[in-house]
Amino acid sequence: MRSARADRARVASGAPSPAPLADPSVPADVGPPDAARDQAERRAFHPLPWVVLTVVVLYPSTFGYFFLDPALQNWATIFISVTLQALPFLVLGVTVSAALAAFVPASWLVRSLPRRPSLAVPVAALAGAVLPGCECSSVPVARRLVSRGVAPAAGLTFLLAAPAINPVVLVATAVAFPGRPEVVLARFAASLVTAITVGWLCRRFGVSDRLETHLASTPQASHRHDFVATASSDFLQAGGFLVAGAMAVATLQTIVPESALRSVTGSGAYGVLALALLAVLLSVCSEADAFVAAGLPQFSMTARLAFLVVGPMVDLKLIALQSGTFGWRFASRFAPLTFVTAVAVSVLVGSILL
Amino acid sequence: MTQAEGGLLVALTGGFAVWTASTDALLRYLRPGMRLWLLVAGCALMLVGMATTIRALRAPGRQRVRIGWLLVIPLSVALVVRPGPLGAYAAGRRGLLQPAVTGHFDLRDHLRAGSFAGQSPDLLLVEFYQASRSADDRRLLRHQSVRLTGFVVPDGDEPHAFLLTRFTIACCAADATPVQVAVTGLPGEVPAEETWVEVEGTLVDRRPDGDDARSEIPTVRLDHLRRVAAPAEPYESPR
Repeated sequence: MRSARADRARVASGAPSPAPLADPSVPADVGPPDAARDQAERRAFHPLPWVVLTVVVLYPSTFGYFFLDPALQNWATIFISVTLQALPFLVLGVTVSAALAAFVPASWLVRSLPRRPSLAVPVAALAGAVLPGCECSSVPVARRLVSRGVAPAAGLTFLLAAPAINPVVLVATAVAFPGRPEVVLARFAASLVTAITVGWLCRRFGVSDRLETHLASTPQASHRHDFVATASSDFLQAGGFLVAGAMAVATLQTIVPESALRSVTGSGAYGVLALALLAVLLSVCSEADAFVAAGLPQFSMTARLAFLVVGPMVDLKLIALQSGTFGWRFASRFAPLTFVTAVAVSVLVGSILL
Repeated sequence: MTQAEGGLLVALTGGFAVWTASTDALLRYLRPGMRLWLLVAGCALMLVGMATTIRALRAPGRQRVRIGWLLVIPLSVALVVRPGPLGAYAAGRRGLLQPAVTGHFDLRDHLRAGSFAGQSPDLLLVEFYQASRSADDRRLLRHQSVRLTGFVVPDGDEPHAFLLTRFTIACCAADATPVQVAVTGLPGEVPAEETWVEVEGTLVDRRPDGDDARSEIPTVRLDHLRRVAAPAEPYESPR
């Protein structure tokens, strides 16, 4: 998506708006003619949405009688939980991203990674260990890295590795599996290998090119970056897609009963696939998913490892966030590629370490 | 969307986070440990949002982030639908995850510490469930009456029994797992669905056998039943 920075730059310089780029995730901007648009820009608020919102805030019970259905209540509880659970991490990610934009020179970022992308990928994966957040934090940060000149494959590897191998998540895993350090080791190794493999595959098969064309529509503003404005517009974008993802999670969890997965609790391939899909469906934050995995003793350890590796890399809210940040064309290839790689690596690492 | 509106949406989202984090509503959605982080994030969003709005009022501009309008949905849903904690509906649909106590839990110590002045010690449902799966702990619970708190889910058409239910969460309501204990020997009518009750009773020793999901539910013979107010913290989370 074209960022608000482009708009600010345009507003500041008075340049004409560029033709809207074809971006399926965003409705093309079919605005009013220029005169009317200038009029609209001078206006600070559109009245209609705010009037509706004010009515909702002041008289919520007006609509309350329609919403006592238990399925809808269940949907609402899960929807708000997923949104609130991700919010602190999203704020952390947006803050780091805005700080990178405002205070870290792009040349420093580029110089701190090896010049050859195939080497930059593993270095970026290890660098993921320094961001103590979950998957929602790493999306805005990875986007910022790429838009500031880091090789896309390296940025994507960082995106995948950071939420799984940072110390907070590893300690949580150790607490959830007391006396079993091999689980922590297996999670670390499998996540790292998956992230690096996907990074290399993206480079090899040009998946990251889609990303480049997408982010190319985010021109670097020539004036000094502004922390507050960047944070605000980054949050609007990521937050909007987070809400869309949370709605998908709540809807699927309400429609598909978990007991449907109960029939495949058996060991072997079905168990691995079932838990990998459960990770996509549940969309639990990576700092808590080890506790969920601890509650699945009827599955093999390898299947539970797949749950821990897939969860921080592919899940419903993450797919929404990624397609919002990098474009749907990219996310629709990246998510399946990551899913398959993560499952394969988990099975491999699980058979060696667990 | 104008920049002023964008800032206002960010501030509103922050306000929603702060409002939720400073009331018991938080406990319907998240584990209590998230309260501080949500407060910090909410305050940061309010500051950034208001700064953006104030600046945009002086120099208006457009914000090309239409997806940001979706941020009004969580706030509106919370106000209009006013969702309660997960209840009987969710308990009937979930059940892939097995509840587990993480970390160290010593039942014998816990019972000794909890039973003074002839009181029955309190146990979390998830602790009781876990204990019922070990032969040693089962022996203890057969003779020691304990107190359990949860809400009522009818057990089919059984007239003198029900399923005492409570969710255990790792992080938020999206990963909630129902823990159920069958309560038998009820003298009167089964309380209405989703009534919160405190149950005092002893474990009926029956080895959990095999794959049948139903046989994994431990059974308690009821000594005392007391209706209680719904607790502020509806879910059990790791101690």
